[in-house]
Amino acid sequence: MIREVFGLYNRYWLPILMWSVLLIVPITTFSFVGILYAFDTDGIHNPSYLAGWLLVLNFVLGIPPFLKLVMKDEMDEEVTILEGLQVFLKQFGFILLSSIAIYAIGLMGMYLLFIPTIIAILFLLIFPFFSELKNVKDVVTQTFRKIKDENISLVGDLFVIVGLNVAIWTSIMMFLEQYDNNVLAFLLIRNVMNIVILPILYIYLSIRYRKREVFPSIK
Amino acid sequence: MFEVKKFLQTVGISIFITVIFSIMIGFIQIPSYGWYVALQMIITYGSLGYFAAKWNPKTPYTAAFLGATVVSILSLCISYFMFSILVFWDPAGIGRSMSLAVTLTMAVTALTVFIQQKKEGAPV
Repeated sequence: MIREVFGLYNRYWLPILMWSVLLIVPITTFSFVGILYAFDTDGIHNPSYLAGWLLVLNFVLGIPPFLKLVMKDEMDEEVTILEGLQVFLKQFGFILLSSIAIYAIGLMGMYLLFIPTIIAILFLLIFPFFSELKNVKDVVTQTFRKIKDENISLVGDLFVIVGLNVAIWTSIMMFLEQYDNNVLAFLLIRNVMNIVILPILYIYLSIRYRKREVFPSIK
Repeated sequence: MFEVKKFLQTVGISIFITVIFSIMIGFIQIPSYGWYVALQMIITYGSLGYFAAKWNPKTPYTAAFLGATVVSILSLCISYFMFSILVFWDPAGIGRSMSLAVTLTMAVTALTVFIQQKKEGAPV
């Protein structure tokens, strides 16, 4: 599966590069500056909740063009840069607004032994991969079917995502902590880190969740 | 039929256009702050009304009304909880801003529907 990911990366390097520059860099910048703002002002009651939502949004918003790439490659068609941007614009509102609702459910579920929180986080991780289906009911049912099908390996995916982020961020910080960095330097490092990791993670996860669907006979 | 997916798409594209437009207009120095806010409002709710008519052709007015309500409530909540502006202390102001938003959106939707009908050549 890793080889498949790098094969796709190799074949479609130009669209992936363009989407990284046009989508991932602005999203990362916005979420990073939003987190800084949340921790700097006194007006917000619990800044870490907002920061968590912005981090989740940073991961989730960039998924649709890469999913489109994998889905089109499955049918032996080429994907263009403009198509990916269109898909991003069309899925933006759905992912943004429903992530607010699901994240709120997750926050409120913290008083119920964290069980709704875990389900909400898994849902938040999976549902962008089904967000281009026709209506909302389909998205919800497909997502819950996926959660039911591979229940325990999803936790592994979560660990891979969080672990890659934490590992790369801490290792970069160990090199850089001796210099006197400012916000701009951190922002640039974060952007570069996200450009490196996120496309690979997106392609890997979309192959994992959506690939067998087009040709179910392969299995 | 009213499509929820398309409706969320409409709200999202309106927010996205507002963000992009605000960044662009930040480079230009506008002397009066009121003009800046007015321009932003026209862009947000204008695009909302246009896309509501375009993507929800069966029920354009419902989509426009709900979209304007959702976007204005979101902006009120953000200004209260994030920027700690005490907007909820002023109910008359909330009523004024929400009615203005809904009026603007519905007007743009009506215009778009009218133009679409003219283009198709149907009797208005």
